[in-house]
Amino acid sequence: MSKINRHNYEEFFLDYHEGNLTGQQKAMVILFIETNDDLLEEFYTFKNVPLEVTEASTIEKSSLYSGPHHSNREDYFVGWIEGDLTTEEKIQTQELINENPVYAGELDTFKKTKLIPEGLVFVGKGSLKKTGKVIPLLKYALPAAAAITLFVLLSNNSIHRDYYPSSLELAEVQLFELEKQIGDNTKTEHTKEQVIKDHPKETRVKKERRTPEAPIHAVDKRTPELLAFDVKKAIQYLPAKPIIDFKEEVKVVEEIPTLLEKVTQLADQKILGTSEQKATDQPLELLAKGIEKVTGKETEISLAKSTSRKKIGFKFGKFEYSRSKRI
Amino acid sequence: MTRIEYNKAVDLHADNLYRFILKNIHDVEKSKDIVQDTFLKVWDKHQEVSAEKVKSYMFSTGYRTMIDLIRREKKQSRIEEADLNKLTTSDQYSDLQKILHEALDQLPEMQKAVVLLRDYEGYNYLEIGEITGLTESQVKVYIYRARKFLQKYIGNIEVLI
Repeated sequence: MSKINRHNYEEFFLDYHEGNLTGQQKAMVILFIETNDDLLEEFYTFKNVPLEVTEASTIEKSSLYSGPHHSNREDYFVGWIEGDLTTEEKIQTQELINENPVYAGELDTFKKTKLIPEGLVFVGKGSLKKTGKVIPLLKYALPAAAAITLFVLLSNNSIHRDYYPSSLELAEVQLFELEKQIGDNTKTEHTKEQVIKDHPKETRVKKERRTPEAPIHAVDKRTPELLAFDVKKAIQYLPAKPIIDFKEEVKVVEEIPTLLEKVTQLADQKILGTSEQKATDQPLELLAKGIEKVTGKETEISLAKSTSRKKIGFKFGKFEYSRSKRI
Repeated sequence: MTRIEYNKAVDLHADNLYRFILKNIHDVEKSKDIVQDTFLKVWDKHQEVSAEKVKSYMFSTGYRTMIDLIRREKKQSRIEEADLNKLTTSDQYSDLQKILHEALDQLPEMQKAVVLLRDYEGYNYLEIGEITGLTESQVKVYIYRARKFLQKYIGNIEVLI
């Protein structure tokens, strides 16, 4: 290792703190710092440790001269190619080379240590770039918007509003209002005879008991009509006939078979059966399941018995008109 | 730094970073991963990093990512000084740069990194220090040591050839 001077002291400072110096070299570093106290602060930057106090060095001070010479020429050569030398130092280094021509080859070899950048190309630059789209927003906002939209649509039944649910709700609300208004008022009750009188015999339907395995032809296309009459009949037995606009109510109820047909077309086999075989032959149950299938809401439509008369109860979505007992 | 400035930085510096990483770890796929990872981190901080500082920030981030990878894989060399006794010659070496790169690979990781930043990117000691976390003086020492090793390596090869 060469002697320490102002051009190579960093290496000695680093080695000092890394413990790579001999005792003699350490003394040389300390002596150097004593004579170059402006470098003391930099010495500590290599490692913040207290400087050892030693006795006076026995190093010959004549070896600590500045400028390039045989023992430190490599530092000057590196400084040359790194552009660290002052003009004066360059001149001194050139003079050293002139005095020792063999050093010229050495300097040339140092110049060859400069790496020449290769033309390597990163192929996937396109994947690193950012487009104008804000990815996080797309990533989260769209599914969120879709979910909200779906929720709203389902909540409002707007998906199927075109052909039925609103009417069913209307019917329910009307029934609910009816129930609320009449309470236990029996003065306006209709007798069974009145209902029968209002509706000819041919329009009334006898209740038939069918087995669950009954084929489609047992219900056939009459099922909607049967259902319509069941519902209509149930409504007729309600004690509110004078209050409710019966024609309007019938109109509402008549939409139920329309829904049922659509439900049947859309329904899967397990719930509603196919067009060839019904899963159930109970019209109201079929309708309820169909409404559930189409609207996704829990639905219950049941004939109910109130003290002495029948009435129909709906439980559809948030509305609960099902306080009546199942028959 | 705006999105446009960021994309411009990709165009200007992605190749340089890739070359720097590849020359250090010699693994194409891992180098690509590091570049990808680095630019993701740069984009995460794009509002804090100015366009003027992006190259330095990118190299600093890439360097740290690379060092983390090396440490994870326990491939970091513990050798502080390359063993010149291991110098070998081969008839296949006819190109000085090939020889130089072979010598470069024998340098300790830190020395190799600072030399690559110096020669490939033209960074000064202070900038290299900011990237690698070294002081300016430490960078200078490492570069000087690396040069001396490379010079001896080339010199020995030239003598033997």
